Amino acid sequence: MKSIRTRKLIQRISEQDEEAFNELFNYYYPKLIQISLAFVPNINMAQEVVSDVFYKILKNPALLKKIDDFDNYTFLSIKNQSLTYLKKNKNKHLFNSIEHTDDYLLKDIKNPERSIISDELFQLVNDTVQKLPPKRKVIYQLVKEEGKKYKEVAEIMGISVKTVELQMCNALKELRKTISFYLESKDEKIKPIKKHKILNFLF
Amino acid sequence: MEIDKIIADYLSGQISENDQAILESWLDEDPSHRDQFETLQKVWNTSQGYPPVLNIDDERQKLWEKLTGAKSLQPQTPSHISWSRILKIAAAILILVTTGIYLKKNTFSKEKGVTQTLAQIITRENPPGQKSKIQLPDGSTIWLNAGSSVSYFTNFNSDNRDIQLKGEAYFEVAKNKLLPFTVRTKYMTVTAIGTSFNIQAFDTQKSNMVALNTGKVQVECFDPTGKKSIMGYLAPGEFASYSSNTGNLKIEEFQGLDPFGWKDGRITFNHASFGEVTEVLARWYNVEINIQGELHHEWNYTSVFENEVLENILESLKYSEKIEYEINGSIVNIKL
Repeated sequence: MKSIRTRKLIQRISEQDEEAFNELFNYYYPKLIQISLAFVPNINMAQEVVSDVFYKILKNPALLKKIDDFDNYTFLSIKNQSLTYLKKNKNKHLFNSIEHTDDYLLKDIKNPERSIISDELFQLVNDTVQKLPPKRKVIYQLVKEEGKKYKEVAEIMGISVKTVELQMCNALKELRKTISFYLESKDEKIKPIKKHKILNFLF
Repeated sequence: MEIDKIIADYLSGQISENDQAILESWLDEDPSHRDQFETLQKVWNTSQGYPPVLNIDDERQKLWEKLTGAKSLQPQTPSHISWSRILKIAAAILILVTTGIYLKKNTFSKEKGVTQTLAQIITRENPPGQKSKIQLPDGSTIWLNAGSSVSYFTNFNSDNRDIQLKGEAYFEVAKNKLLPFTVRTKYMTVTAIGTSFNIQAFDTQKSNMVALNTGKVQVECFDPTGKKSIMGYLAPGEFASYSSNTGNLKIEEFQGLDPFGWKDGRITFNHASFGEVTEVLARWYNVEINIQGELHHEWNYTSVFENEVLENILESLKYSEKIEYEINGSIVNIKL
């Protein structure tokens, strides 16, 4: 979301405009949950972390006027809050249910832009991405979806640029594997279909 | 690994001039490289978005009320609820359907071929201590390890290339893009087009493992409840191991291990526990191994044997651990 739009929405939210709040929340919530899941082991914790961060930020609109990049600030806050949360709950039994987040996260992601690749490929690639280890998945998404440079990602995640590069390399490797498998299995099947289409046309 | 980093740099707009040249030459190397790259670009330019989260409406309203102290003006819009409910139900139906298809395919009953010619099942079985090499009608080769069996239908290569494996086998798959070669084990389904790989899935094991030599394969495993499936892809030099206890599929490189050595008569132990060593020896040499006593410290064994007799291996073991052994025909007694 462009900074101008974000600022406008936050301004309206400070004036108790619920519609603006809904728009901001709906846009950021799924992203922030994903980022939090790179640090905390289950969805319930992630939800608490994200709500806390939202609350802190929106309760203090004056603070926001000083921030240039809302995205980076928020992502960084999510990381910090997640780590704080972990420290606080060290004694409690942490149910490591990363695998079970599937119960809370629906797999079907509708997106009009994806018509340039086939449904099948989209599903395969999406599966590959969703199954990346949490930290790698977040790094990949920050670079691809959020357009962050490696340096920014390193700052947000609290890791070195080299690590970010390594993680991106591994993520791309997985994608390329999926894609080359998909392409191999599609090869032969294209030619016969083309012939068939021509015959149909003639008759 | 290098090229994947360069591709990542290119796609994210961070590529250096030097790397740009490397990318160009990689693209020229092989037409498949260009295909992969162009598809990757399309994928990259297609937003995958983030998985929608359930209960987002509840969370949002709770937060609004906390922030403003005012009750949320927007009641839960029915369309929102139905959308998530509909998706959830659709997902459940999809799971049922795919499970149904999987079960149907996997029953391997003789009724399968009823609509065409009555296809029969062919089974090749190796008792312990015996290895064999099998040629399949499509030109593929199976090296079958001791204590293992493979089964397939008589219409293998006409409308399917399905194999059922119990135990361990190394496969060299003849290329046929129209008929994928599928090997089913207790917990795994491995799909290949033209490759060579090794699968280990003995009945007694709680994990199944597949190691890839050349080509590429797709691995699919079902979690213990049978409802969810996990999928992965292997590149040469990697192996996938699925644990039915945890439902996890792990993919790693098999640098120190030697998953294909057995078919050349080579046994490789790499930080193997005593239990693992005796299990492998029992199966390989078709002997019953009885162990008396216990190890009182951490012990693991690393060694390679090529076409050795059992006695020599036991002698070697003596060098690393104080044991006494006695071979009585097909029974081996080991005293720790």
